[in-house]
Amino acid sequence: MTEPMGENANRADAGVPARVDAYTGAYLVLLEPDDAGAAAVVMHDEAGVPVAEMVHGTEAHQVADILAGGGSVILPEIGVAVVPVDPDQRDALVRVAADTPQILLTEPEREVYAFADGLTVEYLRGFRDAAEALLESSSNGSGAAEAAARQWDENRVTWGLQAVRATESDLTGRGVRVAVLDTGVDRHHRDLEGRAITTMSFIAGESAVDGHGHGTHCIGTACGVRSPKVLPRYGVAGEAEIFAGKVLSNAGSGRDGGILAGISWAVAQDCRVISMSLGAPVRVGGTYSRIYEEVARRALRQGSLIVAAAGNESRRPGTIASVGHPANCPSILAVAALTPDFDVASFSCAGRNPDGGQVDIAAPGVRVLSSFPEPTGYKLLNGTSMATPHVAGVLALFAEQNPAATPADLKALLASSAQRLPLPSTDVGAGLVQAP
Amino acid sequence: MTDEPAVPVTILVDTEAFAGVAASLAAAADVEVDAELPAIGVISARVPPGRVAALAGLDGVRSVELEREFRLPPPEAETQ
Repeated sequence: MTEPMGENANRADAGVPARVDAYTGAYLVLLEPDDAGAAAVVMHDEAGVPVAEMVHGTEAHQVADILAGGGSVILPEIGVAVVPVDPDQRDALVRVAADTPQILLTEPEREVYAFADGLTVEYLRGFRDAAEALLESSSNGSGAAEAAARQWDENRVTWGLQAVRATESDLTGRGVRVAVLDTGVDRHHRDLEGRAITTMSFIAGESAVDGHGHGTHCIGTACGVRSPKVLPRYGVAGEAEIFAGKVLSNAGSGRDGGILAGISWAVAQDCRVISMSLGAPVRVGGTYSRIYEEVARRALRQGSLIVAAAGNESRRPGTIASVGHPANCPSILAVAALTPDFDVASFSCAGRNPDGGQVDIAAPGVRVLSSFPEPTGYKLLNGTSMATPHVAGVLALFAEQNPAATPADLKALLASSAQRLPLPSTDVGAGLVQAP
Repeated sequence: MTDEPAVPVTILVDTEAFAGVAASLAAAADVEVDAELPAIGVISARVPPGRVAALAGLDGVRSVELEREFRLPPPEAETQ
């Protein structure tokens, strides 16, 4: 036999038998973890599959032998069953799965080649995770592909809060102190009355009253109430304690001295999250500030995690600027901005400097509605400045949920729970931030 | 003495050496200390440009950087 000639003749795997989507004849069944036994009984009684044997994780080495002997297994820790299914049983199994609430999903088992021992718990765990993600996205439409096609209904909640799934969380940030170092706050804003707000100005000759608007907008996104006077809801952590440090003047300018003083104040106030929607451009090839990096580490050791805006200097597609100062410090989380269709915002800076300077995570940063000093009340703005407080608010929710979590724990939770996006990590880091 | 205008600097100090460094800076005739932040080990000060390198060599001083300025776009700008 000769190798077929054609478009694939020069591929590296030319001549290797194609084994894409080769199936074993067994089915993987995703079960309600709390009721796996009941589902197994139904599958046996109504589809005729062999009675499944419970195999706990510590005994997982038995799985291959049981399956080789024609048996079924249930792996209770991950809520997955593997059942051999004769061709004439497939229809019955599919029908049973559709009629049995404890069976969430079935899928023909694929042959895999990465593991010498064939089926492994890791493989099945991967199946479970993928299946759960599929179920979730099909049930609430929050998948990236669907989001790209959807029109956001912002009558009740901003698109940003929907995208980060703050709307689906019962957490409110209660008891968590969040510092927003910015242009201060309009504490008489209609939605901030009655809130626990501590203010401090680090701008000579100016009180902490926000004469610019940027700070009130950022505070609204991170810590705005669940039920604002005027819909839509725009705040992530509505019961967090607000610490508004004014480090940028009413004209929008500030200096390292004031910003570092603000960080010191926030750390001393035991703020678990410090949000800084500010920065200065850093050229490609530039490095990070040794001082800010060490200060961020000292803050981490004292329980405070700093998040900062990646910067707005890009002009995509032509110009992609590098993450600015101080977000480019390795110990400060850099936040990129996303559009409502989950693309990176044209202005959002990217990780172009290997020595620190990567984007850690992304959040809504285009057409972001939030509070603005009265009498305006509310305003739509764009910027990585607007993305950053989404992340700060979500961190407050994680901190509430995990009272003993260290900043490193919170950072890990944030990264591991982010929604992956089909975009370069240099642009969006771990992906779209997601509320717990 | 020099007539050069002082430049604002940020000084990172070893936390255990903070009190000593702060005292010596406060005593220096050509250094004007603006803020001491012992919680994070930072001192903001203004010094003659020619003194910056010497400050970095002081015992207990980890790093000295010229202070940066930050500026937001005006409030009416759509991108912040």
